[in-house]
Amino acid sequence: MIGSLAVTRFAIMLVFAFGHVVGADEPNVVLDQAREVENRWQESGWALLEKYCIECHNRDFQEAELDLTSMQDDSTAADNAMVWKRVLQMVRFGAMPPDDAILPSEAERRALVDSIDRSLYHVACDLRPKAGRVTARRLNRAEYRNSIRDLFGLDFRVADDFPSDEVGGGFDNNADVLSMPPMLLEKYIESAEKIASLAILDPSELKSAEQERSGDGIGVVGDSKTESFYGRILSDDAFAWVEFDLTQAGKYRVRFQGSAWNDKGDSKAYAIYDKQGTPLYAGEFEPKRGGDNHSATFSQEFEAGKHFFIVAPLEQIPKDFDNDNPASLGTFAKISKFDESAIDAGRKQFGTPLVVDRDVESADLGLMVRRFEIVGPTEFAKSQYPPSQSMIVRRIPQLKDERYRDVDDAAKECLKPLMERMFRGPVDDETIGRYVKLVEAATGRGQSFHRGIQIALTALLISPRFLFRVELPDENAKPESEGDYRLSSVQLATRLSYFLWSSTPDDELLRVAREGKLHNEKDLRRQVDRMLLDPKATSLATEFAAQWLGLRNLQGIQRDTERFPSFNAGLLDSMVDETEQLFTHLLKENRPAGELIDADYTFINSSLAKFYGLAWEDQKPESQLPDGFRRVSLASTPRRGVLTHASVLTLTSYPTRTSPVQRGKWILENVLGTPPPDPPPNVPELDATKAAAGASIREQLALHRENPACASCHRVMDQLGFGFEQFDAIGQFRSTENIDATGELPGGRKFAGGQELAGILRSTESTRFATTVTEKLLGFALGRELSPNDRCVTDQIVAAGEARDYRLGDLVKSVVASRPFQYFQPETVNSVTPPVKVESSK
Amino acid sequence: MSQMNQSGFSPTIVASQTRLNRRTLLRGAGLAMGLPLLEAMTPLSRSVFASTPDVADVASPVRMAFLFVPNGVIMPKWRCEGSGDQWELSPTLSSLSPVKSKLNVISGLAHDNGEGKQDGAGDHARAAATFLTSARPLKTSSRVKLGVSVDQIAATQLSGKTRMPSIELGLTPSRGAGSCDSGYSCAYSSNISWRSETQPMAKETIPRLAFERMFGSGDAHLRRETNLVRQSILDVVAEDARRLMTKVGDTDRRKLDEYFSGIREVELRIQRTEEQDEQALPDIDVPYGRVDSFKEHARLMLDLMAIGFQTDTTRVATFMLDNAGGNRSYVDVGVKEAHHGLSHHREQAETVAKIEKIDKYLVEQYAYFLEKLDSIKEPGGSILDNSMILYGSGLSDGNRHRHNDLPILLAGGAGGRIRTNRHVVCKDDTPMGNLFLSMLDHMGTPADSIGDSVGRLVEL
Repeated sequence: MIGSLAVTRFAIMLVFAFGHVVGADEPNVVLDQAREVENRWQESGWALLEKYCIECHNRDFQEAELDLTSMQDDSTAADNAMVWKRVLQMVRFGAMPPDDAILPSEAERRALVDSIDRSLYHVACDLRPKAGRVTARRLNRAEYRNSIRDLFGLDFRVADDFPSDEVGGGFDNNADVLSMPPMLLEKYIESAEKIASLAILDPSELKSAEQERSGDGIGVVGDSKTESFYGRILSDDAFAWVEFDLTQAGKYRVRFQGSAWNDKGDSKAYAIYDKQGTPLYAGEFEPKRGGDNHSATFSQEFEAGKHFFIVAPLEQIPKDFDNDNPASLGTFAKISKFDESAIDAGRKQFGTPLVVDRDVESADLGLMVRRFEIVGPTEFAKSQYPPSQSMIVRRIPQLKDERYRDVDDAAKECLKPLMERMFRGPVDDETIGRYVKLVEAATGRGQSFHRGIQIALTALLISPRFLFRVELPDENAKPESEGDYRLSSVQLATRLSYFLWSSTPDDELLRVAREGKLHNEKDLRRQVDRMLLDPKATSLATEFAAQWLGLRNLQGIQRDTERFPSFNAGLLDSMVDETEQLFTHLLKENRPAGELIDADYTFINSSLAKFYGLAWEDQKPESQLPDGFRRVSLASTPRRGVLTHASVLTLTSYPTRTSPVQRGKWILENVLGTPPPDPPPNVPELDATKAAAGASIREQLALHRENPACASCHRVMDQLGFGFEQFDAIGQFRSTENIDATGELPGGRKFAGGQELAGILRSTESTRFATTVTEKLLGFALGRELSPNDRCVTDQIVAAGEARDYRLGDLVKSVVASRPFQYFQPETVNSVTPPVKVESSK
Repeated sequence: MSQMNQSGFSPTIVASQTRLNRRTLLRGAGLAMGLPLLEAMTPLSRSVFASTPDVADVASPVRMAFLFVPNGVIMPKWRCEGSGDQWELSPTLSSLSPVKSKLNVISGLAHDNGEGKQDGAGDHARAAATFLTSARPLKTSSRVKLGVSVDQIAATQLSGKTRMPSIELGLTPSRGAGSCDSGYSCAYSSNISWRSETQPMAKETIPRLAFERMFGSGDAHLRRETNLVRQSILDVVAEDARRLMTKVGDTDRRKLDEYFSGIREVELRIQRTEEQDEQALPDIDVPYGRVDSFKEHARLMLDLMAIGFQTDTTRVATFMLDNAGGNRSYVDVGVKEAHHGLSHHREQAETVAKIEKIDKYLVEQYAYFLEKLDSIKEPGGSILDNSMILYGSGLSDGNRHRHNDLPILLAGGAGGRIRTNRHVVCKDDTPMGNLFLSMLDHMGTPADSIGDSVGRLVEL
């Protein structure tokens, strides 16, 4: 059942579309305009149709089974949209009326086209059109990958084994078609766990070990006594040593325990040296007896491997000695006694129980050596941590007695900024609290704080607030008169970065957004300029242009290498790069969009140079680019623009031969924005035998045109394709064969070969092309298919761009400034557009 | 079977993190629980008290457990009045009165190998080392050498009869290397169970890991933990989705619903795996990670031992309530100072009183264990009736480090082979190894000698 709201909306649409409303009361402005349009149709469009078309397309004679008499009443345009659109296409392109009929003048043709267009798409453009709504949008593969890259600095291709995204309206970022099947969700979960473990390194997983040597694990060179608790008391010219094996390099903490063994109260000085006798530390111990001792600690960096520590009694510590510079003590005098044989002898003794000397309990002796302990690595090199570590883990809770304190505070400090970035907007305390609890649960289970943060990060990475872009009005936002809302500055930042970068906003953009500046035209423009110059803007080439121009279809294309020996799969990648680089260049330099069609330069690498037969070394590269690409001139070649790129030529061919039909279709769709209608049903098969054996493509396709049902479209389509017939199925120029690449476009536009055709298209169809580009840009930017409402917007943008020849950067900026981009229409129960009162009949 | 379900396990766990549902004990195919053994028991014409040589086959098996406390006790308050059948519980042992009839207090035992002699200091290390081995430890901090302990002698002979030959539990982690007492390796202080002269049996101090070792399979515990984490994550994000869905319109809601359904599917799959897992697990809630409270921790471990006996997962257990020279503060009984420090009381009344409190508190945990074992009925009476549960320390007077007149309690009738409710007074300095040999006999796993034993304990 259609609710009354839906009826009202539909009625309003009809008003805008046709100027009539079934059963409408009259809001004056709207109906006046509607009446105006209706009158115009009768005077202009219908009059012309009657004059030139009805003769063949009427109820009695229905050429191609098309009866156009119903078009007299333009109020039926909505119901007959397909017919109206087809007529518009045919007349606009000049495919109709056919050449052997009476033809309208250019002016008349233009008038008819405008008239039909207006009736179909008429929108009261001075009443601001509504922004339209976009469904909640899941991040597609590229957006997910890029967002991870920009959030965490991790560039690993997690998303490669995700299922491919659904495509709608030609793009894989179409909100309506992107779905979330359970299988995909599982992949998100797995990849989230992986990312979390890479983005945050858990120091507790890194092995920090403690080693200890005491009692019979201490070697002694010289005289010593052993007391009851296995402490070793050294005579003044003896020294003790220990050996440790460190498995990792890093910073270690060394602890030495001992005492002065006397009752007189005299302290005993000592120094600790390494194997070479270099002093590491010196200190003094006060007297202690029995099982007790003092201890001293110092830290140092050590390489992995075996390390020796020697401790020897010192006469005294020199005045002004500082442990910051232990070397001032001088090399250990007796180091020569610490040779291999001493080490060997000591090693043999380790583990052999000592004999306690009974008479030492109360004797006054010298330095007592109890134990050496080494702990570490206590710190790890900064370089081991990923860059995301310090960004995420901003505070670590205190660890006391192996228990953490203030886990929740520390976790909140880490998670709040992270969540605001990942959820692309403000986050309330309650939500943060839920993620903090995950960290607390982990530490409660005895795991480390870092592990807890990893778990919280895993959750964030599969939260719908990260994976989906949902636009909701702010708490205090008020709708505009049309019922749509202005995007907040932060929401706008998100749209902007996913449009231009297919990724999440960066710090600079967020900062500007949070200051509310994106609502300011100048600041917005400045950001767009910055973003277009950023390397990340290549996503417009790889996501937008590649899909618009159909380059994705090149994946996995195969060619018969016998027929095409120079073909290989690596070449395909280069071909795609070439086109993408041309696009990127036009974008960054803000060149006219039409230059895509007839540029006399391109970007190639050495394998493409070989392929195209362009001498690589001779070319004076006009500039150097990454990946070994150079800009080169095409002036001396028969190639111009993207239509002669190997990429487009290959993807519009069959495995064994060219297809002028496909090429023509490609141009119609992507350059002229007039996709040919589907063939009518019951198209009779092209009888292959009718063509003579050995007939050229041109001759074979001539059969298309013999059948009037086919001719109307194929007349133009095939002509376009023939223009590039000199380029074979992988885009190589066939200079040796005698190929007829001449043709004529409606309106007497003759050409011979691709270069001329490109030139004609550029000069005569630039507005059409600019419109196509704009429509595609808008669809990509919004993530939805365009509605009749949006025609107004694209018309405005194109009109504004005309003066400067439709520069690409300008078009992008206009899209950003447009209403559908800056406003949105939420679909909530409460969003009732203020109803324009429309009831009553015509 | 019904007697199984009434065990009434309800350990009071402060923070249970698991999602295991309560299940009746041993539901499922009784996997590897030794259930068939017990079921095979015929309700009987044959009295369990009959002394047949193959007692182990038909009647309930005999179990043995050894509980160790460090730093000795205050002997005046430990010693019991009377002897033989006429005796009274001392103040320290008062909490054992419910099970007095199943208890034997043994006095006069000693570990001569704990004395210093030529080795000098290190009594605590020696006390723990000799406790179950009666052997003299080599004084070294690295290459240890001791002897086999009584529990391992039994376990080795019982090998194959149960899922695990023995379990070793504790509350304080072991340290393998380094010196913990005057030059003795930490291995001596942190272990009482020794498989061989050089190999101590490492004890498990984390209840969850002990649980997994006893009842889990393979790396099931890893998977369980992963699933636990995933469940909690899915909970959080599902809540995010729910909240979003209340704010958006129909079209968006449908999109988010796809997401939500996906989450639910994963959750259900996890739950299903868990359920299959849990078929094989006994009904006891064991939290993850360390347990902070001494009492909770100890009782959890004792529960695990009891369940281990009940399910015949093992018949031999050792439990160290603390490592030798242990320094815990027993705040539960109002003693803030450290145990070992206090034990050198130098006869000061205040300090002695504190130690007495600690002694009593530790005995209460033993009482808890005995009562639990006694509450589980099986042929022969209860598990307690079929067991030998020893409690004691390697030192008697902790202040002076005496290794004789040791405080030793032995509860349980070993399936009718031991007469209980006695104060057994042995000749002074009787080697405790003698007691071990007698116990091994009753276990059906005899040995010729252990440590410095000279024969069986005839007084028993």
